[in-house]
Amino acid sequence: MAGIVLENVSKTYPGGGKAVIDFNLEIADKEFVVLVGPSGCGKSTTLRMIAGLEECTSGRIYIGGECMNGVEPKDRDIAMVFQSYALYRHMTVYDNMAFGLKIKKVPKKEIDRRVREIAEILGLTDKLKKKPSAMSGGECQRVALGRALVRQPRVFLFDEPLSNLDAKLRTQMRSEIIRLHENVQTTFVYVTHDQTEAMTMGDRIVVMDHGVIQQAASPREIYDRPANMFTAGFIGTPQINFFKANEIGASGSSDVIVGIRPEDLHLAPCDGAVIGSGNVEFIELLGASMNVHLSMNGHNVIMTCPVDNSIARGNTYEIWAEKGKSRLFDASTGLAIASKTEAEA
Amino acid sequence: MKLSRNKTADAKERRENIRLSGEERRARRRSAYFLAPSVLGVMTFFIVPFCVIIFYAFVDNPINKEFVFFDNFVNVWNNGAFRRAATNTLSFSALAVPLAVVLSLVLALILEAKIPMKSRFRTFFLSPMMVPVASIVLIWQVVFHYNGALNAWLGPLGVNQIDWLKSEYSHLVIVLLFLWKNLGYNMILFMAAIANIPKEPVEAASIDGAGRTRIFFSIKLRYISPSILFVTILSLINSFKVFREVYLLTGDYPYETLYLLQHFMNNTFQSLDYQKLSAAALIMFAAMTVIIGLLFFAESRFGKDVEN
Amino acid sequence: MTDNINAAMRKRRRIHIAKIALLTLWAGVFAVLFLMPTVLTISNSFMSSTEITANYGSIFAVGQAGGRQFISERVNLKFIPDMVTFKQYITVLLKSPDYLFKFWNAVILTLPIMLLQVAVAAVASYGFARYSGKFRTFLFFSYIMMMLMPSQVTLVPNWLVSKWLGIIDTRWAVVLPGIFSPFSVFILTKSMKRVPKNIIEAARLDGANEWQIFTRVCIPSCKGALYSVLILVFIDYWNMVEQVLVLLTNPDKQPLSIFLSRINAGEISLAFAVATIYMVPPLLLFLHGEEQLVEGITYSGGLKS
Repeated sequence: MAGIVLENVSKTYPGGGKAVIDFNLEIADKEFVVLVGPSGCGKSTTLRMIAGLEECTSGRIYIGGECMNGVEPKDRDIAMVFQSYALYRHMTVYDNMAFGLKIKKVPKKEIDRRVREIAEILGLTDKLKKKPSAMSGGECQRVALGRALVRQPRVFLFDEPLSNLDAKLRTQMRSEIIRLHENVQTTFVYVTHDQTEAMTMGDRIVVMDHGVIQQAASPREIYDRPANMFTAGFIGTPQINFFKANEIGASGSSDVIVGIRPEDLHLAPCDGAVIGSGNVEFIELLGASMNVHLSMNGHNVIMTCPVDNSIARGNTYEIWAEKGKSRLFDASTGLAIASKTEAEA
Repeated sequence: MKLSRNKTADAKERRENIRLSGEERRARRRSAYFLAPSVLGVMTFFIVPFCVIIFYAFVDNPINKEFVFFDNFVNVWNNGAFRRAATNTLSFSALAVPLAVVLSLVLALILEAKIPMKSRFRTFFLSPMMVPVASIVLIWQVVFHYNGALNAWLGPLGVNQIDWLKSEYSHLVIVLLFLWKNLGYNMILFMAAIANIPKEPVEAASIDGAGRTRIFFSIKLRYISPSILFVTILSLINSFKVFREVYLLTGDYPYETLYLLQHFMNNTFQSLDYQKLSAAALIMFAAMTVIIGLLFFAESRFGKDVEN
Repeated sequence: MTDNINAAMRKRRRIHIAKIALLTLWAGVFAVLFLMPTVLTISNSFMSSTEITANYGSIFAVGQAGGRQFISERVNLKFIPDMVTFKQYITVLLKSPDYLFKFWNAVILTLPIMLLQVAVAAVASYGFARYSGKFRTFLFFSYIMMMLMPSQVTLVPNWLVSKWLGIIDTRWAVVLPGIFSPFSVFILTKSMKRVPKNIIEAARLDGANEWQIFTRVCIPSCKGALYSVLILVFIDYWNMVEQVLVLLTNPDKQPLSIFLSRINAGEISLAFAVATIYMVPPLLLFLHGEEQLVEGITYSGGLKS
């Protein structure tokens, strides 16, 4: 049983920079939590504090109910996978995976059994004698995963593990890690700046910005009911469109911001309302769908729709917003206006 | 989004900023154990006795211990032998350093021009560094002796016999040995600098229509200029260590122009004159500190533009 | 049209080849100059003593009594011996123990300095690289200062301590300061700092303590720099002169480097063989570890790490 609890955790660097501010989060045992946010938002620092690689300036961190403040990383029973793989370059794949067990003085036979078992799962069996320099990035990251797995820790930490891989490999490894989580039944904490990774992998997503949790909820919840403008803008591609309420003829004053996702906009009449008319500036073809960039009263609007050859650059269309799909935010605080979420734009 | 915090919390946080976190304290303590052997040794053999030297330099003698201000320094400064040694050392440096810098840069440029057998040539140029000077002084003596090979070659050309090591040319002989020994090391430093010149600016300039000469002077030279400075000052420092070569070639009592600071120190060691030794060491220390300071200044001043 | 282009290309190619040829020629000239002293020493070591005396006698004959060989007035610098003989080597190795004895002196001074200096420095460099604070930055700066000081300055404190400890004129007076010379600390710290932080963190998470991180992760990562520092320290002390003159004045304990320059006229024929024997260990080290040596020299460029 190893849930993680972060209680009023803050991190201030000696220079005075605040990396994490009053962070509160409970991660259940066996949960897959993704910390996501732009670079410098404090997500990696949070992960490193859980690992014990950095001390928190104030607050407490519990793993499996025990307070971990002041506990050495090696005594926390955790494993971490780094973006740069952080493999021991002078050791073979086998030795890389066995290193932690050797340090813990696990019997040789047991080490051998565990390494071979994990190598089998990760498809590394025929690479055990190779050195990292002779392997591709994807293989290296798999070794890094293997090194974490053989130790059978209570908690797995991932620090942007897929960011150095190319797009195709990233998608493949993504599903592998999800499958791994199902197999090992352990708590996963995963840090990424890529919102697609966050949406597809996590049981729960924690969106961070400037060292503060913006929202912690399931991917569906985050997407459908973002707690504030930051979360709404950060999650979802293409980005959500923001309008001042009065600009699009919606009820409400100018200090209400309406957010409408690109897929909720249409160029043909639908069950909803017209928010204005826009001139098509350019079109990005994505294959099955396309992104249409329009200009509406000097405002850039993005919408996505299935490929439609009749929509052409330079044409002007009425823009329709689907009923019940717009989110309202308070312009001064940026927070979602919960009661009015269902209001018609 | 923004958290409101009261003043006391702010103050508390500020206090915590100043205090190191436990993790940092532990890392510092643990790595201090690693430093300990080296620091203890350096303290014992260099720093503590050096402090004593400072003390000696300001007293009349180790027993009386009367404070005499700068008398010892003035004595050393006015000492004819010290003056001669200092002048000789500096005039040697003035000849050796520019040659060492220019020639090693030329060697590096030749090797980096993709000539065939580059690595073979690198080995050849670097090899003198690994040959003990003691082993080749015989050849130097054979070449530069009054009855030596050089005079034998120059004789038929109508040049009078010159005693190379006992004349105003003596510096030239030592400079040759100095260059022979040191060019390889400097060349490696330059080769690394040349290899590190980023390709993009060079390519951009050639697309902009700059010729090879232009590219060399406006771009490449700019990127290796920190190395040029570094090698210059390194060569200057190395030129102060040329005593080794001079001693092996000429022994305890060299020709007047080859009487160097180390000769002066050796004589002073023998006479056990603590005050003179200490004051002389401190004067040289001060001079070196200025030069090393220049090195650091040059590095931070000219290095930062071209660092990535 | 195509002919024109081809002609232009051929012309450019010809110019390029001419340029490379010219540069190679220059490199060749330099190479000959650089190799000559070493090659001459080696080749002359295979000459008979009659030949040596005939060639160089006029230089070294000063003060020589007796000998009635023919001595030329001018020296005769020769590359190739008239007759290759190993007689000098046999004499040096079997009949004159004095040379071997001095050679051994050099070994027992240089080896402990080399091994212990690098060992102490490796440990210290981990301390410098692992954590940096104001004090450590200052300390590292003082190491650089000491490294750059000429022996004229550093020998005075060394000599003073040797006097206090009563080890002056013993081997310890040379060996102990040598062990703590800051040179290797400087290069190894730069190399240690290049070990990625993440790898050290991974090792910490794997349960390694500081000593295990040092021995099992950092040392293997710095192999090249370690080897190059070993070579550089070796050649420096194999070549030592001024330390010995000040700290070890007893001629029986002095290494061959000093003794070679004092070889007297009667033994001039042996000198080349002795000189050759003396350059063998560093040259072997060099040929074996040139790549690492070059890497180490590259690390030494620039004072900031």
